[in-house]
Amino acid sequence: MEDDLLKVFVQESKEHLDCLEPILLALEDKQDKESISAAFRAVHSIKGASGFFGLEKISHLSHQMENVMSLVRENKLRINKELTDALLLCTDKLKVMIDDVNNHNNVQIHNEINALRAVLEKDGDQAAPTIQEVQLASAVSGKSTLPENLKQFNVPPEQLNELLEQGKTFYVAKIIATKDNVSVHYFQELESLGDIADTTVDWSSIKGLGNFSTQQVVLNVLFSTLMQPDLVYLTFDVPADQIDEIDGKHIVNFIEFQRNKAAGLESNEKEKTGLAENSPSKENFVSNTSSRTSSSTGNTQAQEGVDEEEKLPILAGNAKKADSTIRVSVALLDDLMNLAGEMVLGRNQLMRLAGDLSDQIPGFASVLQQINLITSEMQEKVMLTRLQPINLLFNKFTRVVRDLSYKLNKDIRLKFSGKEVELDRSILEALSDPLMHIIRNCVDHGIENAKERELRGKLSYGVISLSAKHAGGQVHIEISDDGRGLDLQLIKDKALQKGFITKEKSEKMSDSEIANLIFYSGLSTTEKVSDISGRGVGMDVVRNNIERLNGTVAIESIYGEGTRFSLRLPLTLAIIPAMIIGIGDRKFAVPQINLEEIVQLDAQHPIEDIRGTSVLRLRGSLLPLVDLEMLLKMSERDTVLSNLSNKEFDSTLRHESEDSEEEEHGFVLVLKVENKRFGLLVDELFDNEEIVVKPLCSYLKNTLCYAGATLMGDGKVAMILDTDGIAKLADLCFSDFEQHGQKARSSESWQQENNEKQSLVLFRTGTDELLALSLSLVSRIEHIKKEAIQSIGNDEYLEYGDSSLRLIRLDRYMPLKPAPKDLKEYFVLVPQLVKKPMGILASHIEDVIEASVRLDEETIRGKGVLGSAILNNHLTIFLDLYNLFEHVDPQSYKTGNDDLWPDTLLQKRLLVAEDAAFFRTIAYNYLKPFFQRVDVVPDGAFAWEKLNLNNYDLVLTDLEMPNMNGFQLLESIRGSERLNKIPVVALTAFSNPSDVQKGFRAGFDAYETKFNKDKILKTLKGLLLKTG
Amino acid sequence: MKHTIANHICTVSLQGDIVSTTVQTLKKLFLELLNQLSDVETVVLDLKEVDIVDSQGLNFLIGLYIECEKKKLNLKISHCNSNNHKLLAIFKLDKLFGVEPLDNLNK
Repeated sequence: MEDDLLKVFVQESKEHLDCLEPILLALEDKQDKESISAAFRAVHSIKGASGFFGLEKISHLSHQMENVMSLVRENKLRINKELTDALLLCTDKLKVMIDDVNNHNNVQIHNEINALRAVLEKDGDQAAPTIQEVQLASAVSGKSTLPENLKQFNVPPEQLNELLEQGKTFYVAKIIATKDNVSVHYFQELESLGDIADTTVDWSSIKGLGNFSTQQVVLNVLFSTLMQPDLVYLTFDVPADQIDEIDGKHIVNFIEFQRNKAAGLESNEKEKTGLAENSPSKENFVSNTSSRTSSSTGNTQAQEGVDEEEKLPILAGNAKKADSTIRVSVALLDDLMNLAGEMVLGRNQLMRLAGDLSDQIPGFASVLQQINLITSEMQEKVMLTRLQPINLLFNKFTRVVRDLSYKLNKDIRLKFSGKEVELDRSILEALSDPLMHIIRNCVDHGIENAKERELRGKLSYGVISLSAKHAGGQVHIEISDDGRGLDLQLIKDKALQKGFITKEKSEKMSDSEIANLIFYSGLSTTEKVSDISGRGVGMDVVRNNIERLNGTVAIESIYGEGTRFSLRLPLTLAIIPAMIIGIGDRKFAVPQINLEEIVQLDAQHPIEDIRGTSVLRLRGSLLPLVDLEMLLKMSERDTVLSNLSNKEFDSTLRHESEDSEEEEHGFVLVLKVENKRFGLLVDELFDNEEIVVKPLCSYLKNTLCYAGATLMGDGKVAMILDTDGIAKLADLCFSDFEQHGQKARSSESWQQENNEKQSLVLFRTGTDELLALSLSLVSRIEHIKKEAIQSIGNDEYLEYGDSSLRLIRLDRYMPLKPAPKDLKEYFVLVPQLVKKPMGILASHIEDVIEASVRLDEETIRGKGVLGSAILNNHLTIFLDLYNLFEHVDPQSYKTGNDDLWPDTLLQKRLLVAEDAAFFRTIAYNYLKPFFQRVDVVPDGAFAWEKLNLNNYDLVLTDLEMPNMNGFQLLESIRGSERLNKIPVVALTAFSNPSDVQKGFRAGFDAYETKFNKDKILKTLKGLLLKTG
Repeated sequence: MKHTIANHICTVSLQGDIVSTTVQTLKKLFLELLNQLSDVETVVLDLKEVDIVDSQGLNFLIGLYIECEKKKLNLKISHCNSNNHKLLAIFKLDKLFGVEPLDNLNK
């Protein structure tokens, strides 16, 4: 029994310590009363419980911390770095002792006690006080008065002193006599857990031998114990508001009071503290007890002021918490998860076996359906029991960043967002080390010291941002810093030097591939090995750990500006949605998380061969293909096996021969590996199923292809494919295909001439008009309930992430039909690349398409309208987001700040080369008001022609264009004596950091995202003013 | 319930427990008895046969004390077993009216 209790103590103390650390760190920056009280309570709880178990050192250390926190709480000690250091040191030591609670006495705590003492000495220039000194000091110097409910008791001072020295906490409980508590047994139990120091009784409601059932005797008990408050409430079995915890300083006061009283100084004391006489003589028993006890608990709070006000909600909270939550062991939750997994398997089997019977037995189908639904729901709920907020993990890093930044003499601030996002407990645990490693690297290598930062024109402090969000059934975690970024050339050189890559390969590698080299074991670019990082071990472990969790990690970095790690993780590991596929007569499971799309092989999508590798041409890109059958040498093995047992594998051979006859049949699964894609050739597709992931047995662990195994509905085992492993095993070189892909895209564009395709989202605001917005301008589409829309005045808002997003109804600004009034759900298109996004409310999302747009700017015109086009036989209105937002909120969106736009710039002439008519129109519309002339041309060749005929002050060019692309145009301009001084700005629809770097290296003066109107204008202004 | 009167002391011996199921009867009997008493200064409750006193029993004892006060009578309890003695002490009734434990009387 005691062991069980001790386990509960350990668990609870760990939770207290986990809470304590972030509170202490937060207090260092901002001291608020609530956090100070929370820290005090955490330490106090540990002290109380450890004393109960006789864990002396834990009790002693926590008691000293409590004393210090008590001084902080009374504003006698200010929290500074030294105090935070000392308290964190103590917290660490408590963790060590609690982790090995049975041997805690072997741990030395002198350093921690000395650290606390040093802080107190520095603060008060005196030796650290003992428990009693601190309490006495606070009692004597404080303005505290004796709580009303304490005055009624009579206890010898020696007895009180002894109880206090034992580290006991005092409580005053008000017990209304009932048949349950008027028993010796009840009081014996109380005495076994603490000391009944004194009691008083109030029987003023009894007037004689009247109606006993309406009469009430109230007993007030002064109780001291080492138990935690929660247990005290439980033991007394009375409502939480009938028990008051008495602060140690009041007991010290009370001792003094009792002492004075014993010495006959009652009258003096009476004047000093205003206490009433308290002698339970027969004559005044009734009146005294009634007047005293009627003011029992209520008055205490009034007297105690804020201190007690703080306690009340805590007590009430505890009582409430006890009702609504229970503590369950993780082992039990694991068992539940396993059982839920088995149940899902059983359900899958049942569905398969019973499918044929459902026609024969009436009602069987609906029962099956119900079992199916309930199993899914139950599995989901069990999964929910294991989810924990990522905050638990993020909180750890505050301390790490604080300590390391002090150590490295850097000023670093940590920012969080999405702390409430929940993840499976096991994933959370497994993520701790990889994230810690990334963050240590950010602090050590990423963020520069203040001097270096100032030289680079940055703020003197660095920022590390940690964010988490749910997206597409996954959790996305991003860790970014605004430090020096990765030096790709240095990484490449180091990798060459260490022999990780060949020179030939290094020349072909994309920036992203070079950045990913940091995940190689043994590669470190730092010259100095510190105790923080730099040994080149770790980043490979980071990636392995994340991949083991079926997650991916990608890295983006801009030299001089910062680095961003993007992690994508499944919500849970145990049961995942997967696509079941067939290759030969085998079935495999492909996790949905890795699957992007499925392409059916036919005449339109033939397999091509480039440099001996099979590829699929998909929307202008080349997708390398992997034939799993060949990769796993399944045919060879099956042939060998079939030779051993001729009959058994007939079907496989038959299948092969069928295959060879019908080559272009089957499917390609487009799979994701980090930010690359490849295709997996499969013969058959079955169904999407929730599969239970079973770990691989040890002799299959090193197989790259498999992430695990699962049991199918028919009882057979299916292997779960590891997409990353397959890509590695197939030795895919993505950059080859990227280059070819570009060529392929270019050649297609040449053929199509200006018939370029745009990704568009089609939607309706009401029931009639069809609207279109370029997908590059949309960051997210949210599906919301009507209730989520909040109105303030005439405007509507949506709570979005940490802030609010203004919503706009297009029908208020354009001649469109409004959404039906009874519409309960809406879609919100959240734009990107605008300075202050406003969400566009839509009633339906029709489709997301890629289409060639021939924009008609004449037929439909108006504010916020770019033009119209016929898409799939429907007239579609194209939105001009910038114009629309300017129209809706002219104050915030007035571009360029006309007053500050220099007159000289109004005389400038611009040339814009852009192959997409759609973007051309947008660019022309927003640039025209700011310059004398803006000429737009559809490609680089046209631009070159214009440049040779006219004078331009600046050229804006798209990178990918037919006839002559942006890079070639730049090369021509730089090669011309007349034109080489003209600033050239690259425009792209997507700002990929590696593209930006590539752009700068090529010699562009700036690199901008096509739609970021304000940024473009700012850049143009800067460049034009510079060149005069 | 039996009672004897000697030397201005009325000794009432109670049989059974002083609990919710018996207090109503006891109340009736005691109100009658107190009305009959004359030339008595002290009422002694002999609890030798009483095992349990519950919350309503406590109310009864306090009520009886108040009734005795009204009639200027002292109330004492004798032969109180240890459990009941402890309970009465916790509720400070031992200070209100004298309580003699069973052991003391046996000596």
